[in-house]
Amino acid sequence: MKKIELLAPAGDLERLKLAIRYGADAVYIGGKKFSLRSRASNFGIEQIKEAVQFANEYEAHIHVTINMLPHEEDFEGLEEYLKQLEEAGVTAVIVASFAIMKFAKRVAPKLEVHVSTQHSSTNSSVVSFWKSMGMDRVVLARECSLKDIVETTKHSKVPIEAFIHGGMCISYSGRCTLSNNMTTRDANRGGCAQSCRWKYRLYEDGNPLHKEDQLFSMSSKDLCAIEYIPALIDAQVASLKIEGRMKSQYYIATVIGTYRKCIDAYYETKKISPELMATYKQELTKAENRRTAIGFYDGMPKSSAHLYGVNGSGVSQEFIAYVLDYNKETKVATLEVRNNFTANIQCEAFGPHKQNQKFMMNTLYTQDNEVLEVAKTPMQVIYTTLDVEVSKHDMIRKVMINKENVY
Amino acid sequence: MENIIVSIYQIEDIIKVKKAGATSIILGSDFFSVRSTSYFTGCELKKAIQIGKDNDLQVYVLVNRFFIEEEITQLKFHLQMLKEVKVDGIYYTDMGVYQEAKNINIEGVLIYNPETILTNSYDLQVYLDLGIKMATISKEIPLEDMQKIGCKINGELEVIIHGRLNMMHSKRKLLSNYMQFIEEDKDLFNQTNLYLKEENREEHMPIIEDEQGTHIFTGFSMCSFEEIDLLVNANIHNFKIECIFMNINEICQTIEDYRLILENPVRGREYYQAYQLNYPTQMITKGFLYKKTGLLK
Repeated sequence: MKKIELLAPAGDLERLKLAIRYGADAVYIGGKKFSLRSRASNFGIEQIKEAVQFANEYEAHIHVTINMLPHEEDFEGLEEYLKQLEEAGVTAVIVASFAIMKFAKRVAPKLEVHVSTQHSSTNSSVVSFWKSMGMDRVVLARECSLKDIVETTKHSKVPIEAFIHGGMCISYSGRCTLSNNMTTRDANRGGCAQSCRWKYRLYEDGNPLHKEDQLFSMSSKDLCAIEYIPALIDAQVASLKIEGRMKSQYYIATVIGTYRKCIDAYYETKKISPELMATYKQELTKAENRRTAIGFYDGMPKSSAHLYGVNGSGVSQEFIAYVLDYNKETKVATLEVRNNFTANIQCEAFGPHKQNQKFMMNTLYTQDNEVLEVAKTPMQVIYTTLDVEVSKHDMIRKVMINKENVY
Repeated sequence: MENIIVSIYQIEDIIKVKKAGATSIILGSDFFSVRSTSYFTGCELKKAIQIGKDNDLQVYVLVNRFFIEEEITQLKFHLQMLKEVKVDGIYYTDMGVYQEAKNINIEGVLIYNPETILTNSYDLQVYLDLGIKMATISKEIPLEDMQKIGCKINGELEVIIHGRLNMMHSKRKLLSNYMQFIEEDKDLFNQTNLYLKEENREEHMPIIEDEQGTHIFTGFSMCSFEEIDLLVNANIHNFKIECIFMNINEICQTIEDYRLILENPVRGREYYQAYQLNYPTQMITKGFLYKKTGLLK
């Protein structure tokens, strides 16, 4: 049985390399054209080639999103682009437009075509349709419950991809024009203003039904389905997808690393104890930038799966430094600063191949060997001695004592 | 004769819309339809279909929701029934419906209306080439694009010319969840008199929660009196009036007015202005006909 694929997002090459180092089997990225997530630092063709080369070293794959719903003028340059992707060694394109799917099959036949979640596929009949059209994989809608995913996969003859983590549209994906209507920004061509996450007053025949201090919102908590990983593996889902091409390096490392460990543990032992699952969940809370819930996995989301009164805030952990180097003999670590921190704070180091290690931060030094009271300049290179052993590409986070309370 | 397509609330409305000048009616049914004016049971649906046919109307049925795996068997039975009663059209949004209809050789009556997705001539053509009857151009497309599309396409196209447009469909019970959150014991199920106002805006956007989730509609009513003849000239001949927030008298009046405009297009502006005056709460506008949405933020 082929091992399930862990599919990570990346907004740039640095995040892509990090995702692969932390255990992604494949990474999906957006090109400069034809892709949603207009702010996700989309990749040029040279960067895509570099991405493929890097992925090849790790036996990983690159998928490229072509998931906008194009208007009449948006097709220019498509043929050349698809051929470039094929030549670069990209494994698959993730496509929303049926016309582009068929076009890709014709002009770049080595590319797999994956049907985007923008189609909101929720049953095996629609999967059969895409199979009959020659498509290679179908990404299911985030509206599917675990039972829906299991049953659909069982009756499908092409590989199925399911979302397991990250942001959720409140609408069936690809079918929403709230942003188009409220801001003239096209939700389905990379301009979504996330109007669903705004606050609204609710009226019945002109009479208010809302509470002024608790306005209506359609903001969903992010998805976190780690507890369903064993069931998804057993169901022979082909790929587990994490949302978030705009997320930070820290987020990518924490989330990918945790799911990697969970998947590997299940393949090795065929079970995940409740205690072990609790540690994975705890680890993921350190990466969240929105509160999480299980989406539709257990059926219809209740009010507890929504964010009311906040606009997606609620960061619960802070990534403070990236490890550039560590000398085992002198215990000197070379760090790159990411967020404010000082000496004498409780920290935690984590990396792709190790258990988390807690420690107290020792005195910080600049490159000129001067004592640094506060590390506050992003990307500054500093030194300190660490009592725990770390490695290049590990990350260090503050241990937060009091989490911000959001509802 | 151009095809004017409307929904009805009850069987008695069939004669009324026929007299007003409609050529096609849309019927909804329990379980299989969303955002419908009618939800007939199986027997009522068969009766309504027959009465529609007896009145020389094209009869279209809404099978326009998403189906999960365990519902596919019911979908198959329903499509088989629709095949037996020979409906003229079946609106759908889930390509699983296409697959099941094709399995029983009735894909030729399907009308694909995914609300968005059909935003260009290339996509419209590949769907029409599947052998379906008709496809609905996405409602956020400007008139200029619709005209270009109409001239390129080989097949039947539908444009929504009038009424409140659906902006989004969530599977979630958003109103019930909110009522639970603010601890109000109030049932808002299937009410059509609810609306949202964004905290810094004035638009009244209707919101409905039903068995299939929550639907939000535009704060304006689309109106195309000035544009319908341009669409006809662009080889588009099927025009739908979204009736969900109109009563049957308004529906009939609107059909009559579009018929009149089709015969005498120069009066389009006059009628548009009259509707703005006569239906002030409907916020009559031209929707996206002259508004191009942006690619980027």
